[in-house]
Amino acid sequence: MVNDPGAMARPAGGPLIVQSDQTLLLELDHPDAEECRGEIAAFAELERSPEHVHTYRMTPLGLWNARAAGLDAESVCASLRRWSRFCVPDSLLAQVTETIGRYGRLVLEDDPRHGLVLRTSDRPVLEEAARAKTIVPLLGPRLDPDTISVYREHRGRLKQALIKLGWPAEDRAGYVEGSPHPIALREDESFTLRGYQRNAADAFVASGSGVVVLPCGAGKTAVAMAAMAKVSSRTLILVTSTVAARQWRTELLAHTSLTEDEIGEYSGERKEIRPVTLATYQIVIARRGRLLPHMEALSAEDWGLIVYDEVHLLPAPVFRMTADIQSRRRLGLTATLVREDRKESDVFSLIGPKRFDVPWRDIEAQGYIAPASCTEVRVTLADEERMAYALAEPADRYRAGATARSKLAVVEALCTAAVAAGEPTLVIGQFLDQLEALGQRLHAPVLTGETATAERERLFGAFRCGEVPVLVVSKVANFSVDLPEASVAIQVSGTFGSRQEEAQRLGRLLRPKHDGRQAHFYSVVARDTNDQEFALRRQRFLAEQGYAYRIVDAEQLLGERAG
Amino acid sequence: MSNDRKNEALSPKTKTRATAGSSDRRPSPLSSHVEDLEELDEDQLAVLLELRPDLAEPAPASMEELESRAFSVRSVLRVLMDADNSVLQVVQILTLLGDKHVRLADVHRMAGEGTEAAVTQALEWLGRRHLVVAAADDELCIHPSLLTVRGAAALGPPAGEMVERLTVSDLQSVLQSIGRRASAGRKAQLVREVHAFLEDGDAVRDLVAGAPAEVRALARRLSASSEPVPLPWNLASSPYGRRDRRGAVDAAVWLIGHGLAYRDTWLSAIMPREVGLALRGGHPFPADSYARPGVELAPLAEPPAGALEARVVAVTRAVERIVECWGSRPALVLKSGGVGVREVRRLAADVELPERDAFRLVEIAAAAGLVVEDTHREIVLPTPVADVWLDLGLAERWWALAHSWLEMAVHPSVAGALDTRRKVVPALLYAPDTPSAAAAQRRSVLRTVVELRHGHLDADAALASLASWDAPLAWSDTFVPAPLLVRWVLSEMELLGLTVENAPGALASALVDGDFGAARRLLADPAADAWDLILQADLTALATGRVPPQVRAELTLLADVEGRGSATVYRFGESSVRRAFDAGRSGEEILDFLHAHAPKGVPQALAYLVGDVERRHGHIRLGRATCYVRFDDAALATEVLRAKKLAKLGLRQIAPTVLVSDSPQHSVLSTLRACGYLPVEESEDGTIVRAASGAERASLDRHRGGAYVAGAEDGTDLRPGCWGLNAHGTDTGAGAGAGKDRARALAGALVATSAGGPSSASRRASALGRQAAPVELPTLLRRPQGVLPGDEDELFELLAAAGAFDDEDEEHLDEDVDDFGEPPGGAGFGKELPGAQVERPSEIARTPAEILRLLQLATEEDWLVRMSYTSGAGKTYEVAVNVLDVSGEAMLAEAAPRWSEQKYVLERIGWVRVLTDVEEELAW
Repeated sequence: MVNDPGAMARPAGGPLIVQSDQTLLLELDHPDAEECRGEIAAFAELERSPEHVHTYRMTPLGLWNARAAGLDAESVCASLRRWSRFCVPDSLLAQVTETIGRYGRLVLEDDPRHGLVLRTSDRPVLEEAARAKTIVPLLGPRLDPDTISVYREHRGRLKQALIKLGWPAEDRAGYVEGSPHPIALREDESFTLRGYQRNAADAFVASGSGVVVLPCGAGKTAVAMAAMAKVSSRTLILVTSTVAARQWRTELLAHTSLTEDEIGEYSGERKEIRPVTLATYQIVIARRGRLLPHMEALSAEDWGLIVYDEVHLLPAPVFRMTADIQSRRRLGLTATLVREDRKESDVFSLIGPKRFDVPWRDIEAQGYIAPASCTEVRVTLADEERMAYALAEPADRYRAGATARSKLAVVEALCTAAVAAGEPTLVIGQFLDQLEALGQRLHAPVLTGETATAERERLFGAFRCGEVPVLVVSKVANFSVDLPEASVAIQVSGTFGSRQEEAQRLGRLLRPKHDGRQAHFYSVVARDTNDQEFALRRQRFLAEQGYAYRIVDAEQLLGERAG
Repeated sequence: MSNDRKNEALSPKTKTRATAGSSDRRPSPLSSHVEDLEELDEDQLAVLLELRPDLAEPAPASMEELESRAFSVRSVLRVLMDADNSVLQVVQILTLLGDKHVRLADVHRMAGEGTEAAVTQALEWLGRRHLVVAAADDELCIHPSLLTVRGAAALGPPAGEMVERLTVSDLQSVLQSIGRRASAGRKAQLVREVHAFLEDGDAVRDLVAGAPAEVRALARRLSASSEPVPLPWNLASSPYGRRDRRGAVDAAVWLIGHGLAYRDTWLSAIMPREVGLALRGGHPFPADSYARPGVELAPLAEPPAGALEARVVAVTRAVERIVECWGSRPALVLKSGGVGVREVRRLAADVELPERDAFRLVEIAAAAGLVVEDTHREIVLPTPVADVWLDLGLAERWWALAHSWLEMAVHPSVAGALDTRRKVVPALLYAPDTPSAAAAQRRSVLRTVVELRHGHLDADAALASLASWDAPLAWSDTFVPAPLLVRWVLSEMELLGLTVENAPGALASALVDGDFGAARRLLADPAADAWDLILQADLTALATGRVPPQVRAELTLLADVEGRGSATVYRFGESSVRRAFDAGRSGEEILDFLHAHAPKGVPQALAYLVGDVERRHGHIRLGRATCYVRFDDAALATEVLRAKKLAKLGLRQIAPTVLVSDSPQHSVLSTLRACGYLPVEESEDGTIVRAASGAERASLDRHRGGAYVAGAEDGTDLRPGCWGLNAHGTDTGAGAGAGKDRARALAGALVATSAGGPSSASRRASALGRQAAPVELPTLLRRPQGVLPGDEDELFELLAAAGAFDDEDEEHLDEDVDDFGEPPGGAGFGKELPGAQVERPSEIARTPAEILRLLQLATEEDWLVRMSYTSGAGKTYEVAVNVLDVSGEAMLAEAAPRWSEQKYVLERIGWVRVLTDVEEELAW
């Protein structure tokens, strides 16, 4: 408990509002907002970032991450008091102090005589932990009152169990080097490591394991490559899909000294284990009976570094594998530490604490990323369409609303405008007949899952060089790795999947143009249908993620175009 | 109070006294106090009322009332609650002196040396409150109530009676043992001598000084308190002159034997006042007890204004939340009284307060009148006062809470504490309306803390000692140890912002002085009332600062609260915006409100949300109606809607061809028919309901009779076998058995009808006649007995008899019946036969032609009619008649109520209408 009446006397007017439910509200228009953000981002997770007030949340994990990064309770409390507009509740400060104080009371160390040991500076905590039912089987004999030996293979599981108990252990047991393999970065005019990427890689290498949090499009792959170059040993890269694996491969070939022969792909199609192996999560967790053959095959290798792409999507079985390889260096990459399955604590204990985090706005300010502007175009359905929607079976309702013909005119108007402005435009939809209709109306090629690869390559090529200004693509095509970048995307139906995925893909699809023009995303929505309900959810999410969001009426839009 | 006023308070009232009479006739003390009050001028009276606020509240109607109030023990007690130890000791000295008039010198003598200043100050204190009045230069007149209120310095009772109770031999024994010559005189003489000894303090002290050590110890103990000392049982019978074989002496017995203690009960003795006083050196209290104890506590630095204000804001906001929470969901009261820990815990979670503080604030809010128990509904909810309070400024709101806290008659910290059974004491359990010591205790702690500039919880014992010196009466009888009470009060002060981190702030001083102005100056920061509302594109809103109640209420209507704390986070959603539309807001109003209060503007997404909801709100409407009337064309609908005769149906048009009504369907139907329309009934699936043709039947399955005719409803499976006919070997043909079957079925129906409740014979008869009876039953029932059978068995006998009749017998019975003539109520029977029914017209005939037609119809149908008739004498009256014959210009009819036959001239009939069934039944 920190008693400092002087701090309470600080004149009100800071940019931060500290709520007793441990959320922090940061008012962006305040002159001190940027400075404040820099301090609180170290220990609080950004939850929502709409235009005026951003919401951060302090969680035990966030605080422990901060503690692992070297922040102590005093400085956290001091930051809160310094920036808070209102008197910070004493109970909250006490809770923060207490939570942070829990990290590091137990330490995993490599003892020269006894091997891996769990050591404590606070004997009752060790007693409590050693008696917990989940922990007893993981511990070996007691060496002295403050030290218990730990079976090496249980290093990960012990950390997992301890964090569940609320006493996260600091892992200082070190790492094995793995088989060395030289890797070097190839920096040139087209590719140089950005400052924050270099810092992230350094922060990771210094600690040996942990998570680097960077927003979409900020170049997480580059951070991984820098880390690989520093570690220079055999590396396993776990990615979400084959598509992503190939993307990685391309990047690795382009920007590192690695050659085709050195990079293996371990996926459903190919099973290559090479000095740098790209494996998908799916193949790692693929079962044959009760066995995980691929996981075993990969675990047997002497990796010096394991890279986890998109840590927030890491499937649970991979955690189990990770628990067994705690002596390897592990680098997690993600845009957000928030997991939909609430397994944040496993990321913390098994991959490692957050090692690097750079505010999104900083990267934006450096001109590396820019959010697309999002516009929702609301189309009022014709009466017969409304009736068709009303009469549709519940299962078909979404389709009835989403494929309304009234949308076509709007899409056409948008495309015409975009093409006139010379913007490459993608039209994305879910329903094939709707896409066909659009293709005919727009005289644009339609690309679906059924399109042959060669044809697809051709169309993409034509689109890139501007021969085809408008491309109509289905949702399936959207997952294609070589989907070209566009500056305008028009979504007529369907969503990309989870809201989070959607935002990420948006970010990937719509890079800012070199001349600084903003990319645009249009979503054409049928008014008064459940199409609009989905849109409302998306709108909320995108607004939370800081995308500028606007709604226009189709009539207004068409009117403007006509005018 | 100025010095001269102090002096004046004790200056002798010589002028009145001198004129009142001669010096030997002293006025009675009471009248002297009355005079004393009566002589006060306006200013002096004001001072008195300020010092004794209980005299002014409620405002006394007259001087007499004020006087009687001022002399009541209760009022005196109230004054002494605030008296410090020194004053109370002087009061006790006055009591010891025992007279209503005492000499000032005596008081000083008894108080002892070195106490003069304190005694004078105490007497002045009492004088200012008019409890002691200076009667002469060195004489005081004591308020009689003052002498009754306090035990005398923990000394025993005067020796007088105790000595009287001794026998002569005991007295002699005592005198002998104290070394005085026991004269052989009368008892009175002996008693006097003992008294003389006891009055001689030096002699008593010498005696005790020479006593054995254990006697001295006991004597010291007894002199310090008036507690009785137990006697050894074997010596209790006669303690005088006793000593045991070894010469050892029980200390108590020694004291009794030497006249220094007296038997109080069989097995205990007490020390008389004189002895106790003598052993205390003639002074009931030690000289240093007149001075306030010194307490060494380092004063703490005054807390910064910002911190004070933060506390004040926090506590007022918490109470606001309590009002808000209990306003939307009142707290339930426990059966055993009070608001239970579960409710308060929930509240604490809502308000985000520690549980104990939630208990305290609930008590304080109740004391401030913001929440109150509704004893009828057994809930606790906010009062209208709370609305007034919510509209006040920060300083006013805080002052209301702090002042209520200071004056409240219970300790708010009692609620939420553990009782002796380790159970949590519910909130609002105690609500004493009488002044209690709690307020005085609290005030004394507050004063002490302000004075010492120190309110640390660890200093509870020191603070308690000071506070209890300042107001000993307030602290004298409390179940709770004083240090704990002090800790409670300190916690409450911290909660209210009177202290911050144990250091009392300027607000505490303002509260002690009752200086609201000072508090307002301290809390007058305009930023405290500043507020802001930020609306964001993700449909959230953030309200910070002190949002005015109206704005907050409107926001709560428009959006759901997502998070609370220093700022409130709202989320707009379709359902929340709809709520506002439901409450009657228009889209324009909502947006105007948002634009007016959100300086950063309304995000487009929110404006669209409001617009969307507005567009769709009310597209579907519903209401309540009992039945609908549907038309094929709108013109007919309009006609029906406008028909005056149908106005009573309350028809409303909801579509060009649809009307609805709240009247029951059958009455709408019959009224429409009566007006000449030809409506049909529609079933739920839109088909036309066909009117039942033929006789009605009771639905038997619901009646007890159903047991006998299971499956008989459709008439296809009538199995008279179950009626017992098979047992008799009778064939189930429609012949002889039919009458009996019917009888049995009817019996069932009849019993079921009567089982529904007591009903008159006529109603049972009509039930039979209308619902189930074919023609035979009424005739059957019109048996010579003339009454309906009351119970089932009787009825069975009757009906069985009917079943035994053959066809001729039945006819015979019919004839028989005719002979009995028409019994009362029988009129309804044969005339309402199913199939013979003609709809009774409901209109009133007014023209001669109509009247004639209606009368003829009534004659034919044998309906009773009601008509207005003007007699030959020119008197118009209304009468119900049974028309017998209409011919030419006159008619012959039986007139109610005696049904005497009369002739009526048709011309004089004003109007005629046919009675309804019910009316007819009643008329007969």
